[in-house]
Parts: sequence; C-alpha cells; structure tokens
Amino acid sequence: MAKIVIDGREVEARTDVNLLQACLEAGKDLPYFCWHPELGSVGACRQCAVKQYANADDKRGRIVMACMTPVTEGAIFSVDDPEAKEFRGEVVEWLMTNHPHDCPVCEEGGECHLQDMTVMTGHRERRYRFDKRTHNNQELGPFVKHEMNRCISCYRCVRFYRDYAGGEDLGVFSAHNNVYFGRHESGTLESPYSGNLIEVCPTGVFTDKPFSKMYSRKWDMRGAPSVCSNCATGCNTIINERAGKVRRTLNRYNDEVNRYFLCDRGRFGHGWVNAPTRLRSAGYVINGDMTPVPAQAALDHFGKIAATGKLVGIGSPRASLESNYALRKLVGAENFSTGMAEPEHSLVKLAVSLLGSSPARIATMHEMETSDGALILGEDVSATSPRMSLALRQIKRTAFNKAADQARVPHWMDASVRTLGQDTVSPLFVVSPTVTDLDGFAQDAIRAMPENAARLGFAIAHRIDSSAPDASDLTEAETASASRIAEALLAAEKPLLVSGLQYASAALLQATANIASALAAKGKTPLVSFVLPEGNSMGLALMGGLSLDEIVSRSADATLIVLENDLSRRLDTVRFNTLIDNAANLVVLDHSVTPTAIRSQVTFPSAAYTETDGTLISAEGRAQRFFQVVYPDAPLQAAWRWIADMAQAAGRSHVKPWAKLDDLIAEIATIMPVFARIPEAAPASDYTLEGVPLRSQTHRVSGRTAIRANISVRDIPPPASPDTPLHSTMEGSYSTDMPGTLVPFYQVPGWNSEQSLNRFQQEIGGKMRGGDCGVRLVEGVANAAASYAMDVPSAFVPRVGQFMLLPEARVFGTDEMSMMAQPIADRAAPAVVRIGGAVAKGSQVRLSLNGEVFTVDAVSDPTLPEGVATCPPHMVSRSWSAPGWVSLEMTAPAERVETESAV
Amino acid sequence: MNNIETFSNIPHILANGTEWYLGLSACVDGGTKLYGVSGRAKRPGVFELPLGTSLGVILNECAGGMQDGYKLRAFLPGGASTAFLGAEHADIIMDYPTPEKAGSRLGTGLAILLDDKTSPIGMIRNLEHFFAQESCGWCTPCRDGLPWVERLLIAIEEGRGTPEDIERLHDAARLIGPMGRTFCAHAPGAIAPLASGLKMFAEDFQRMVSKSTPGTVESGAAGQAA
Repeated sequence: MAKIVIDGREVEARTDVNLLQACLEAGKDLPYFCWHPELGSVGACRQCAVKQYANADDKRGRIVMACMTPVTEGAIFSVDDPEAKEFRGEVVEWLMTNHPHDCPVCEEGGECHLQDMTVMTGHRERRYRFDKRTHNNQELGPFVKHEMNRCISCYRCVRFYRDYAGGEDLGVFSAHNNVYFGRHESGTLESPYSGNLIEVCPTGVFTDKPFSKMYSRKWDMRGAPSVCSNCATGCNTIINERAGKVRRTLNRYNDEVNRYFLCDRGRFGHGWVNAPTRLRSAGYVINGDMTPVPAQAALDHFGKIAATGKLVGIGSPRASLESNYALRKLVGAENFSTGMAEPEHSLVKLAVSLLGSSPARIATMHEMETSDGALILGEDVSATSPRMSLALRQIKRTAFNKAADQARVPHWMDASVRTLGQDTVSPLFVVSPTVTDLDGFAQDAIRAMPENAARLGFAIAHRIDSSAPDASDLTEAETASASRIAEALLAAEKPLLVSGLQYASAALLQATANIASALAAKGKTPLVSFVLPEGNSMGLALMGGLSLDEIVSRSADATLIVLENDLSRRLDTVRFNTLIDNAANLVVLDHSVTPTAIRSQVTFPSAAYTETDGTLISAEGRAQRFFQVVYPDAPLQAAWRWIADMAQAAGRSHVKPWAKLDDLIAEIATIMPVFARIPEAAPASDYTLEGVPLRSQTHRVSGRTAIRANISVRDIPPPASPDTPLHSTMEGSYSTDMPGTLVPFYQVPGWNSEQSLNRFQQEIGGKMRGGDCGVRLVEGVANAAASYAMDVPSAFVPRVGQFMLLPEARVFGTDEMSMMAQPIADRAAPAVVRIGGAVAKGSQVRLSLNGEVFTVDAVSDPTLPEGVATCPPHMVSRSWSAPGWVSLEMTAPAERVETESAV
Repeated sequence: MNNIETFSNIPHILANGTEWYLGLSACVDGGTKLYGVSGRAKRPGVFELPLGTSLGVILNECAGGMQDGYKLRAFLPGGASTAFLGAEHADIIMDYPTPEKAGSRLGTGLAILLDDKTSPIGMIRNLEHFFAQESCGWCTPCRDGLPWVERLLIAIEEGRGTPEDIERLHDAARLIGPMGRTFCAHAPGAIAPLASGLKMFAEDFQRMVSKSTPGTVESGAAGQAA
C-alpha cells in the first residue's frame, strides 16, 4: 500500500494497480471507457485524465491518463482540477461527434456506460454541427446484435474477444474515425464467449439479440441472483424478469468462480423456462398426450396409487439438492437413485471420493487463471465446461506476467505485457484424443486415446514420485512427454491438474489423482479439478443413492417417482421401456415435457430454477443458492413442495410439509453431515439489511399497477414467497454492502451499467463487500499420505473392422435444457460423425448406438487416428454418451438419405 | 533505428571516422542533413547540405528562390508537424536549437513555404486533412478531434464559418496540443501548424468568418477523412 493524495485527501492505495483503480476504490467518480478490470489498461480512450503534480510546490501539474499511471508513494493527483475536468468533458464531446444519440431506441439505454460517463463529465450540449459517419451493421448470429454507428472505438470488444478469449473472427478494420469493429463479413460469431461483448461494450454496439425480442428497460425488470445449471461449473448469474417472463441472463460477479464473464450456453440457455415445452399444470397422459387436470385431482390420484406398495424415487443431477432430498426422504434412502446411469454414476462417485481424499485442493476458476504449470488430461474442457476453459486460457498469461515482472512492467499495463509475452512459453499442457480449443493456448497439445492419456498420466505421476506406478511399454515420445510434463509440474508454484468424465474413464481420474498425490509427496500444494456432467452432479454424488441400473432391477411393481429427469437420455430404449413397463406406476415431477414425462401416469409441474429457490453444488464442491425471480401462477411450485403434498395425499406421514425452504435446508444440514454447511451458502429468507428486507426491483420500476390493466384494473397484492429473502417489489433495502449472493442487479447513483459492480467490491477485482458467494463443501485432506491407484490400463489397440466411437462434447447441442432454448438450438451445428481416415465428401454412415441404427452425415477428421470416430452424445442416439466399439457402414454420397437426429 | 537518413550515414562514418563526420557540419551537431523546400519556390527539391545551413542558402541558392510574383509569407521549417515561422525568419539557421528558440522545430528539415497569394486557412485545412486521415484511430483526441478540426477549417474556408468555430479550433489546439494528451505524437504534431497558424493568421480567420453564412448541420464535401 502507498499513501497518495487525491484532491487534497490522503488515501491508502494499492501499489499493484493503476491510478484509475485507486481513484475508483477511493470512491472518486472518474470516468473511463477502454480500461476494464479484467482486461487492464491500454490508454486508448483518454477519458480518465487527471492532473499529476511533481511535488507539493508544483501548482501547475500536468495531465496524465490515470489508467496508465502507476500508484507510487507520495504521488499527488487531482481529479477535480478544472483543466482535467475540461479535458474529460471534451473527450466525451469528441466521442459523441459520430455517436447517433439514439438512446431512446437503443437497448443499452438506461444501463449504458457511455450515458453514465457523459453525465459524469457534464457534457450536455452538442457543438459539433457536421454530419456523422455511418457504418453498415453485420448479422452476427443468434446471440448478438450489431449497431456499429453507436461505437466509440474503445477497443474493449476486440481486446476481450481476441486477447482475452482467443477468438479470431472479430477484429478491428480501417483507420482514423472510420475504424470498424466486426467480422470480415456477416456471419455467426464463432467464439462461445461472444455474449460477453454485450456487457464488455460500454454502449449499444453489441446487444443481446434474444433479449431484444422481449425487450424491457433495466429499471423495469425484477432481478434475482441465480446460478447457471447448464453445466457443473456453477457460474453466478442474475436473471431478469418482467410480467412473468424471464428476459435475460447476466453475469453476476463471484471473485472465485466466474468473475466477469459467462459462456454463451449459460447466457443464452435459459429460454426453455418460457418455452411451450413447459409443463404448467398437473396432467394425465391420455393416448400419448399430456392432458391437464386440476392439481388436487392429480394429488388424489397419486394418493390412491401410492397409499400402499413400494415407492421408488429417481432423483436428478439437474434438480436442486432440496428436491432430491425431499424425494429421498419420501421413498427412503434404500429406494432412491441419483438419477445417473452407469458409467456416469460410478465415475461421479469416484471423482468425488478422489477429491475428498486427495492432498490436492479443488481449484477455483480464479486460481486456475494464475497456475504456472497445468495439465489437462483427457477432457475437452472447452466443450464440457466452457467457462472453465476461458479461465484455463488465461494460464498463458502467467508466462506473460513473469516476463513483465522481469521488465518491471505492471501486470495491468496490458499492451506492454502482451508484447513482452510474445516469446514466452505457455505453462499449459493438453492431452486429449481430439483437437480442443485450448490447444492453441498450450505449450504442447498431445493427441492420445483416453487409455493412453491415462497411461501418460500414470507415467507422469511415477516420474514425480517413483513410488507411484509407472505405465509399461511407453513409446519414446510418451516417455519424453511424461518427463517434460512432470518437470514442468514440479517446477510450478501452483501446479494444476484438470480431468473429467467426458470419456467415461476411471483410469483418467485415477491417473490425475496419482499426479496430485505425487506432487504432494514432493512438497507441492497441487490444485485439481474434475469436470462433472451436470449442475448438481456433485450434490447427488455427495447425497448418494443407487444407480439407474440398480433401480431397473428393483422397481418391478413399484410406484416410480421421477424428479426432473429425462431417463430417455440415460437409458437405452430397451432398458427405458423395461423400467417403465415393469413399474406399477410412473409419476413424473418436471418443469418441461420430456419423453419420460409423456410416459407417466400422472405428472406434476415443478417450478423452474427461475421460479423457485434452491441449492446446487458445483464441480468445485461449492454449494450455491439460486433465487426465484418469477412468481408463477399455481399450480407451479417447487418439486419439494409437490413431494410434501404427494406424501400427504398418500398418507406417508413421515414426510411433513416444510413451511419454507430454510426449514428444509436446516433439516438436510442436520440429517446429512456432508451438507452441514449448506445453510451458509446464502442468507436465510428472514435476512434484512439495516432492519429492512431486500428489494428485487429498482426504485423507478414502472407499470406496477398499469401492467395488468388489460386484464383487470384492480390492484392485487404483490407476489410473495416464504423461501426467498428478496421481496418481489421495489420496496426494501439495497446497498453496495448487501451479500454478494443476494445482489439482484448492479446499480449505484451515477453508475447504471454493470460497471457499478466496482462499488460492490472491497477492491476492484477482489471480494464482494457483502461477503463470499457460496460455501465449499469438499476439501481435500491436506496431509493425506500418498495412496496411489495401481491399476494402470493397457494401451489402446485398434480393432480391425470396427471403430472406437468417442463422444464429441459440444458447447451447443449436447446439453439437455439449453437445447430447449431457441437461440442455442439455432446455434447448434448438425450432428456429424467424424472419422479418422478418408471419407468421401457427402458420405453418410449407418451405425448402431445402444441397440438402435442411425444414419448420420460423416466427415473425415485427419486429426483422429485410423479406426477412431467421434459422435456428439445425445444428438444422434438420445441415450448414447459413453465411448464404445461400433461398426460403421459407410454409404456413398449418391445414396444420401435424411439424417436422423434425437434433437 | 528506423530512419533511412540516419541509417545511410553509418557506412560513411565507419569508413571515414567520426572526426571527418563532425567536420562536415556547419554547427556543433555533426554531419550533413537532407534539407528540402516545397511550395512556390523555383526549384523545389531535396538537398544534402552541412547541418546548420541557413534557410536563406537552402531556399535562395538551392531552390532558386521564390517563384516570380510570389513573396514568402511564412513557412513550416521542418515539415507538416512543425509550427509556422514568419518571413522575418527566412534566413534562420536550420540547426536543432535555433528553430526551437524561434518557436518551431527543425523537424524533418523539409520546409514548406506559404506564399502571399495562397490562403493560410486552405493550407492548414490541407495539413489537417492529412493528419485526420493518417490517424490510426487508436485514441480519441486524434481520431475524433482532428476530423472535427478539419471540418471546421473547411467550413471557414468555404465561407460557412462562425466566430465560435475559431473558438473551437483554439480549444482543440489547447486540449490536443500538449504532449501526453494522446497516445503518440501524431496529434500534437497536427496541432503545431494549427495553433501557430491561428495566432499568425488571426486576421485571415476573422475576415473569413465575418462574411460567412453558416448552416446549422453541414455535410462538408471533403469532410470525412476517407
């Protein structure tokens, strides 16, 4: 820390930040555009000009750009200096010379950083009287709208898209006041992080296209903190709602998890909550159609069929911990399934047990960003956890920063750091059977089949600690790679190991755990992460239960209750039918119509994650709560409430209704020690700030009574829920000190855009003022004695006449719920089978997956070995997802038929 | 080192030694300089002369003096990004310190002449067009400030200027000119002829706006730096 003087006031400032950050952290309103807390400084916009004085006797001073000025002990600055203020006002006036002043029709209006900064500088009269340059806009795909005339050329978009996220198809073209930010021609933005442009752009050049179709001003929407459930990463989000419809998903800052950015699946994958596929009433399936019935009738019916006889419950890794627990309680632990089939069920359990006993800590995504020696072993993280992949991309920056340290260049001096980093070597290693988007960020991207990747992992562990088992008969190249990676991991201060379940390989997980143990045995403190399949996979593994396979044999003549789970994605058709046909009754609780729901006898409509509250446990082992933003019409309610109602109806009196979510959470924490800390994940529903409950709407929300006037002019009381600490209205408290888990939107006086986040943080880029978001439940065992898995697999051997079919994970297409959101479905490319070896253009393959035959387009993939092919899981066969041997029957282009697809 | 002129000295210094090189000069800084003259001189061109040669020698002996019928009114001693000096400096020593003492810079050493029959406003407009067009577009004052300057000059030159326009030009000179306001020296260079020209040719500017008929919103034909 250093003492500096800003406008005559002495303040303590961090020395590792620039003066702009120091001013903002000191509470000054200093406008800026090109600086971004995660992207650093480049000095392009010249907006943050301040006066710097050489010493106390210097009365003239000179103008400097705060974002390019380091904080040094004793430095004297003025933000309020008239000359600096005049310059800042003039910068906005210059920016405005070509800005169209179309705020009333601009979707950024009301949350526009340019608006805020313009007001802040005091510029309000246009003196530029000449015409404005205009640009053509581009069609950028289903996610992002483009309106280039609004551009103020801050360069943030390309710095995020290219420098930070590694995208290549967005650039800056032309020169002088004609600079153009876009693609070389119209076309869908290729980066899976394109949606961040919407938040990174300080004005309305890049806006949210799906939101645009149901647009509302920021101040007119209710907000609620939420957690993304489109993968296991657990990114924090804010959901906006108006008039009962979810409008959009925004990033919510969590310093240890997703920080400033989301992936596009997370940002645009919520649309299923508004889709026609939603279940909105209880129903009976009659002749294959869902027929609505009154909720009470459905409950009465359930009461009759379930009053006696065995109940079997199938939980779900995409349902909340609370609902899963309620079902488990209703049916009994011995009749409860995690809802996962083999091999996923055992692998998730293995991953969690390895993490729980490992000497390594589970890495947060923020920790991953600064690792100086990292290995991704046998997982395409860029597809299975895109946001984690974005964090892993930053590892390259660790080498940049080391070069910067040598040159004594501060890390925030972005352009210099990137220049200094040009010749550095990334400390990231990727081992994967297929090409991944992370390869370009790695020192070395090694192609290896899952078995061979695991063997390489074992060999690395052995080279770190010779008491770990080695893989025999390694090739020369494998031996060299193993030694090099082992050396790099040993030399690292923050070694990081990442693997996952994509290739359904226990050996990969064990090999990764062996490396972690070996590093720990050598005195290192390794970080580890396993990518898990779904939003609550970790929670279900911790809760425990039977696999679906075990359930198939136990559910004969039982009443089967399925919680928010489409079993047709998990069981092949034969076993799916067996399970349902053998059960006495099938009862489904879900928010959407699925192939499972359509086979049920009675269905109860459960609230989606936007309509209720609950807890998810991310792959990091972090319990996080999502809060409702929509107050749905009856009979929609949380699945756990349905389960309590069902218990009542069936006279299963051991399940008593919970009055509110907190009661249920408290019960789980008491009954299941592993979840003892989940009450800490977020404040309870009786939380108040300075004695007043929190609000979820802005003070200026409009149409509170008028918005329903077309239905009825009578005032109705605002909706309420006993489960959430956020009140549904504009009445209540809101402050920068509110808990980070409860922030419904970011806004402070003078700062209406998401940039107001700066004020909610203890220091910019640091912790939230209102405390951490979520609580970690799984920690390794710091001083665990090295215990090594000894079962080294044998090397992959191709088979004559058969192909090893590997699952090709995709950001868009292979995930269940997000594909029910139209923008994601539009973005998803058609399924193809990629084949190692020559394939004639336009060819198709016939292949049998899980007992069914499909015809799919085939393409040659020269990066795959001969005898290996890939297929996107769930997109061809609904249930297929694990690697296996297949026969591929190639058909010539001339014999093309319609391809078959599960989605 | 990326300047061809500097680079081309190296072999000769290596071949002949530093004493020889220093002896070539007419001032304390050694060597020769490529001087140039453009504008209404009889023989505009580039001339290699001892560093510290006077402009009188360069203009009159090498470039043949002013064309018949034209008088020197002012000049930019060292290219487009140096400040105007009046005709009273026509014999100035073209070394490093002397033009600076006079309020300009040696710059490239390529003098640009303004004669008595050419509009200084037109000359400055032409210079600012160059600078606005050559702006890379990185930082705001240069990217968006210079095109505005250019359009103001066009309006004034075409008889559509206002007294406020002259104020705006002064504002631009004051706000963009000092080093450190922009990312590189391109914009301060652009401001050097503007700021000095506004002072030196104040009467020309006043005369143009006093008889002008400004419009409210204008699209100058040559307005957009393209």
